[in-house]
Amino acid sequence: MSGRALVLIGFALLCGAFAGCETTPPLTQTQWEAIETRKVEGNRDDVLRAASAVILDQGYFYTASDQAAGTVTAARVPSSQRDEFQRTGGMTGPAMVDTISIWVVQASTSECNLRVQYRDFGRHVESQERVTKFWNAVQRRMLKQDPVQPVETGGAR
Amino acid sequence: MKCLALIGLLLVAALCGCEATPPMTATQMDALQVREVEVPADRAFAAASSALFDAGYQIHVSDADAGLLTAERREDPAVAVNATLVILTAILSKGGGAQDKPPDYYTICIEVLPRTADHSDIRIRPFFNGQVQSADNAAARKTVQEIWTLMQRQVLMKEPSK
Repeated sequence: MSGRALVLIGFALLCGAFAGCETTPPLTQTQWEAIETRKVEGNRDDVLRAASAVILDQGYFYTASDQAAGTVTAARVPSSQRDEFQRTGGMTGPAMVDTISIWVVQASTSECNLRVQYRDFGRHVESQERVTKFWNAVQRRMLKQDPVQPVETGGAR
Repeated sequence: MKCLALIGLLLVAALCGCEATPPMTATQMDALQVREVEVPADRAFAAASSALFDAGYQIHVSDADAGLLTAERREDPAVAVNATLVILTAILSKGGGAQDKPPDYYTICIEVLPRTADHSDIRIRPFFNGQVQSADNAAARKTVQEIWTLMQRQVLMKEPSK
C-alpha cells in the first residue's frame, strides 16, 4: 500500500471520528422551563418571602428585587473571584459571580409556579438537583419546619 | 522509639481535636439573625434603611413591598499600611511584583417580614467581600448588633410613647 493511500485512509478515519463527536443540542425554552419550574402551595407573597429567605440561607445577596413582578435576583462571589471582586468595585463591579434568579407567579388560587434559574460564572446551569433542593427548602420555609439537611454554606473570614 | 510514640500520641490527639462543627440549620441561623420588633413592616423597613444610612452603607437594592434591602460599605486600607505593604513585597520579591491591599467590601442583606399588623421580623445577613459570614462568626455578630442598635434607636425615636 502506498503512502498516499495510507494518508487517505487516515484522513477518512479522522473524518469518521469527528462525525461521531455530535454535541447534544441546546435545550429549548420549554425544556428549560420544565427543568426550572416547580409548583408550591400557597399565595404568591408567602412563596416569594419564603424563596427570598432561602436565597439568603444559600449564601446569596440580593442584587435586584421586584415584588410586583415576583422576581428576585441574587449573587454569590466564588472564592476564586474574591480578589477580583475586591479590586473591581465590589457589587457594582464586573467580577464574574454566581447568580440565582427566581420568579414566582400565582398559578391558581392555592398554587404558585416557582421558577429558579442558576448561573455559575455567567453560564446557565442545567441542574434538576439544585432546583429541587431549592424547592424543598422553600417548602420547609413555608411549613416553618427545620430542614433535615443543613443549609449553611460556611462563612468567610 | 519513645519519641516516635510520643509524636504518634500527639498526632492522634491533634486529629481528635479536628472535629468539624456541623453546619447550622435554617432554624439555628434564624435564631441568631432574626429579631422581632413591635412595629408594622413598613415602619421596620424604614428603620432598617435609616440604620444602614447611619452605619455608612450605600443601598444598592431596596424593595419595600418585598421587604428586601441590600447595602454595601467600602473600607480602604490605611495609606501608610498600603505603602508599607507595597515596599515590603517589592523588596521581598526583588522588584518582581509589589502587592497592595485591596479595599474590603461589607455587604448587608435585610429581610423584613410582617408577622402581625403591628409586629415584624427582621433578618440581618452580613457578607464580607461578597462571601457570606456564618451566623456564629464574631465579626458578623458585631455587625448585626450594630445595625440592630441603630434600628432600635430609629424605632424608639419615632415612637417615644411605647
